[in-house]
Amino acid sequence: MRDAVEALQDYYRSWSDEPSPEWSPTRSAPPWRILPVGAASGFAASWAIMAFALGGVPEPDPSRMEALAREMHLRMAGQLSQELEVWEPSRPTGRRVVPGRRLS
Amino acid sequence: MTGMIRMSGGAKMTIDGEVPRRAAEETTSEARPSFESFCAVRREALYHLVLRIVGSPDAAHDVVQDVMVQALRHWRGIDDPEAWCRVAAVRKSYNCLRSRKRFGPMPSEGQADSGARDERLLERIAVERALSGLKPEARTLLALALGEGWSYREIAEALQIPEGTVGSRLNKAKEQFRRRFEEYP
Repeated sequence: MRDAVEALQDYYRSWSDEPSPEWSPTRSAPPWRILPVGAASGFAASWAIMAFALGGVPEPDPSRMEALAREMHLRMAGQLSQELEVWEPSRPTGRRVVPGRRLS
Repeated sequence: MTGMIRMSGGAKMTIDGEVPRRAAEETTSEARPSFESFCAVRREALYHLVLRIVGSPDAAHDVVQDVMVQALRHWRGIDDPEAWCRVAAVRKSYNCLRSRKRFGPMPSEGQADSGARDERLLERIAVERALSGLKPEARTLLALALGEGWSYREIAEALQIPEGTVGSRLNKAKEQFRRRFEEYP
């Protein structure tokens, strides 16, 4: 077997061939990390309203729809994660923490 | 890894890549790319950086997505988006490795009994197995130094450890990796 460090460098190089996945509004960070269930359903409802407001056209422009969805998703994710900073849901006590103070 | 790091332009960032709101408001920048164009150009490089640390495409995609969402939130306060995103990506990858230690290995790790006979594949499996036995900091150090070619100074800044100790910890990580790698038949 080859030298361990050489093998490790080859291993790292091999990841360069891995294609980067497409940015997709549906393939987001794990939703349980940033979007609570209520917000996710709110997002779905907003999405439906937005689609309707855009004219309810039978053949929407997919790129435009995707851009809107992405923007909306990111905005919601940003707002919600700001709210989530105040709480620490993973701790069993669910104790309130002071906004702006880092958890130990 | 605790505390904050001073980014270029005066903005500070916590270990999770957060820019405090006040710092974000104080910092302005005129000649920055738009978020969309930055994503289009740099996201792939960030993805490969994270991939080398976490060793799993799914986990890497999640980490990059997190970094991008956070970058968008603080976009106006980030003076050097590339440096900010690189450091945030390293720290989130490190945290990803730590949480994986807690919850067990990724499905792609430790598949040495898959019946593979190809020598390259066996070597890759041996590398992954050896890496999975290392501590998150050692894995991150190896990926940054050997995979990305970062300088000691860059590594020290990203991991918030003294520059002088990067070399010794890196040597220790290499030694641990070599020992585990050679244990594999």
